Amino acid sequence: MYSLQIQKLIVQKDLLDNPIDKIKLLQQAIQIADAHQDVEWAVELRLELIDQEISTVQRHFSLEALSWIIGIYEQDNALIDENDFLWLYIWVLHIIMHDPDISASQRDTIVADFSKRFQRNGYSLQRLHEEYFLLYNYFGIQDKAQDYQNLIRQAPADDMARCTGCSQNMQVEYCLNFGDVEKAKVEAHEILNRKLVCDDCDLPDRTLARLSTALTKQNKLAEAKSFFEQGMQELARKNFPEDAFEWAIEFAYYLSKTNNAQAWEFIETHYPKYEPHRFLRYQMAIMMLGILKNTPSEKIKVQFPDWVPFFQNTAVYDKAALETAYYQEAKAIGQKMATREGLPAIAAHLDQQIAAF
Amino acid sequence: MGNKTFKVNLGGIIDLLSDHIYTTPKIFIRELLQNAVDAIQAKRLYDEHFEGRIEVQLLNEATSQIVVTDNGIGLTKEEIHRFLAVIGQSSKRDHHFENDFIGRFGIGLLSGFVVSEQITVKTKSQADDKGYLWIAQSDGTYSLEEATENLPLGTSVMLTAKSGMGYYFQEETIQELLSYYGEALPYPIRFQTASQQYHINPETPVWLRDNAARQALLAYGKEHFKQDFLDAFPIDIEALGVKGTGFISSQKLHLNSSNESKVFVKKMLLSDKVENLLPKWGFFIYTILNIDQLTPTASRESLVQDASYKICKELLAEAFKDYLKTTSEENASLFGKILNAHYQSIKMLANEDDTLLELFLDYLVFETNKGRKDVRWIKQNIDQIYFTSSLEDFKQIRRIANSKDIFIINAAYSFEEALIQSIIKKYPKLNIQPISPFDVLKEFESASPEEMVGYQEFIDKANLVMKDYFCDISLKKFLPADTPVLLVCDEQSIKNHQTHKLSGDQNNPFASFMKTAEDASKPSLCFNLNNPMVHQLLESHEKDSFPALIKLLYVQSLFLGQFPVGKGDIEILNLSLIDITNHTS
Repeated sequence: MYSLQIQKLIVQKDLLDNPIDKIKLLQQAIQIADAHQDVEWAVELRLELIDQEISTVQRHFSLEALSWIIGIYEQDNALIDENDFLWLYIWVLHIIMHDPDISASQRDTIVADFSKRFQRNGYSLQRLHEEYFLLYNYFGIQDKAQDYQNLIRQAPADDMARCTGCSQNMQVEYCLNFGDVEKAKVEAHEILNRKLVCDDCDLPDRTLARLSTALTKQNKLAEAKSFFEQGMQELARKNFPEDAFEWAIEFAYYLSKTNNAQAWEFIETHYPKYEPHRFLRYQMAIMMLGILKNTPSEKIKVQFPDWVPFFQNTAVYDKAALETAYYQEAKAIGQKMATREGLPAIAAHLDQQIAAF
Repeated sequence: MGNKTFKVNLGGIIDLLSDHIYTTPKIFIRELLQNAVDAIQAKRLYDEHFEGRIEVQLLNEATSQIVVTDNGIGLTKEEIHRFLAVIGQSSKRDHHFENDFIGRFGIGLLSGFVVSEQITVKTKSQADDKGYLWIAQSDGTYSLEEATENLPLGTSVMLTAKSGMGYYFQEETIQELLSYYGEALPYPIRFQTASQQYHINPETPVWLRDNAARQALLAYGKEHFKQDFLDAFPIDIEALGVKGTGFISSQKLHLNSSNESKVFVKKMLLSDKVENLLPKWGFFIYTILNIDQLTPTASRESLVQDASYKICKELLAEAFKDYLKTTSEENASLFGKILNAHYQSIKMLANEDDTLLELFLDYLVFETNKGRKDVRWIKQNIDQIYFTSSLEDFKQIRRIANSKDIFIINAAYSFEEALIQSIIKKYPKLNIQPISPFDVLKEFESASPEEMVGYQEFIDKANLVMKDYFCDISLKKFLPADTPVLLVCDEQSIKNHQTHKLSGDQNNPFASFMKTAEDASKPSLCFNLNNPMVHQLLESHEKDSFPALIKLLYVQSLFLGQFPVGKGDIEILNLSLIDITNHTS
């Protein structure tokens, strides 16, 4: 009977579009599975919960869900197959690597556990190296990014490897982060002509966004325009999912230089309705600072969702106040990441980015 | 005439081919039929009484050659150059009567190359006094010459199986594919082999006929879907040219069953698995539909999900609702069978639509603290109805509600909370209110201030014991008196409680993340002052066995409330029992 109740919740979940609503139903189903000590359901539902959270801007449940699954596995490894949760462990590792509130020692504990589980199941540590690469690449720590790029190349690709498109996009982002836009365009060729497409990794949207931003920064607006237009088409096709705001905001940055009023309309429409995780807030803060830099008016009329710390009912904001709010937020997160990684260069990333806008 | 090279219309074909538009080689039959139908339709624009026909010949099964011939409009020399030589261009694109043609992409002929190295077309148009022979190779070359023989008006296309494709040129396969795609086509299709002639579509299929007998429809459904149906009903949405039959499954289907429909567009089979066209709640309804007004995708294996598609989806949902409503009014026995087999879907349906809510309300069944009851019973017997929207809440309150004669509906399952809210809105006289465990806790009688002074030491000591288990202590008087203790919590506090449990597992690499703030809401371990054992306990907080007894009651409260009881909790139980045994021996 309870199994049917769980199935009913799953059906109801499938009828919904918003992953946050789906998560609520999955939590109900998990409660039922837990109450009936049904480990099989409880694991499956938690894996689905993690999977759904990937499509949100939040990171509230994945750690706890995986923690529960690992706890069960350690109690009795006959109950579940370790391979069943390794794929989602990659995602959880990504969260941990990018969460400024997680300490270095906590991170290292997880990295050791991740490595142990991957290696004993015959997988290479390529995905671990990629997570380090993504982190250092984003913050512009070139020597470390290169080190991990080498490690990625040395590690054999296996069933846990990224798809070719995502690996290629990492190359594109590396070229862009270290100033070689022309090479980035060459590297992006197969993604842009749709030979390498991946909906899971949001290709080609994110590649188009990165290229649009890099060219906009260089004031090559005519060239940026084609990337912007294609990217907007891709996002419109997917109905602007909230978790795509990480790159959607880059299209707002292009608009801020070409049609500033439209940029703010875009932000008002697509700013996440739910409070995003901290790393995304760092990324958003940086892009918002770029958009604000291109905004001539000192007063900005824009309706933000009420979770933003500077929310005002009037929907009219001082540009200077917004700049301060975003700068301070990004500064605090950058400092925390810099301290955790023991790399002062991470703390300098914010000012470097602002200077480049 | 020498070989020439295709002019490639890049916009038309290369993208489509590179995206692998076709999922199976067998579609070459559909495309050949499609071209034949288009040619006949074109001719009928000039002569509406023209009787088109399509003939398919298996020339030689051993050499695997088939010819598809139509008596349609044929092509002039100029048209061959325009339409056959420029791949990706269609004669249909330029036509004012585009909507009369099924095919819109002009690449159909190319699908022949999926199974054949060579496509031979013989054609003669009324507008040209000569016939032509066009031979195209899969390497992109073609030749065009005047036919030496006297060709009839129309077009014939010949394909020769390439290596590995012989299966698609076998008599049985071709007959099956012609029936599969052409069952509903309005022009007769004849299939001729060396020994036999088949008439593929001798009459309009029963699912498409006006006034088809129910028994005939049910027999068709049984043969086609390999299952018995409770009923079959006609679907006719004139505005979009939708016509067909719906079949009500008699099987209790898994709620995750996808409701696929078999769809024909302009009477040519599009797919027998079109997803998402039907409302999700109608998963127990199978359909076979012909749709005239929707647009197929490039592969012609699904439908473009444009505005018309959405309207069609809504109208189909309306048609289903009308059917169910009429059945409930006119055939109670059949309606009862449908309801019994597909209760969950009906409940969801009632939730979406006021008219149907009214219609189905009395039949809806809920889990309550007095067993499973339908709304008719509840209306007749209960004045004040409470409901909980989470299973945890229901489990906690149920036991107490029985002793206090409170009636509670468990509305935690799919669609139920929303359904209850709709019922409240539509039937305010039905006095329905939400209730939570904390509401119940508030209603419990408290000890007097004087009594509380005496119990404070117990509370402090019990709090100390339960600190590690993330629970607060409270003392109340409630029924039933034989329940010594309850764990009272809401969604957030039980979540905090579980997170706290996870943080204690030293083998778990994530344990250090699972911190719960000290001030986070905690469940309350509520001791019952009406319970004699609790009274004994109140007197015994000085005893060494006191912590073990409190822990034992905590685990009991987990069992009573049907909370998850993990390995750690069993350990608490065991250690407490050992402790008590040690102190009593």
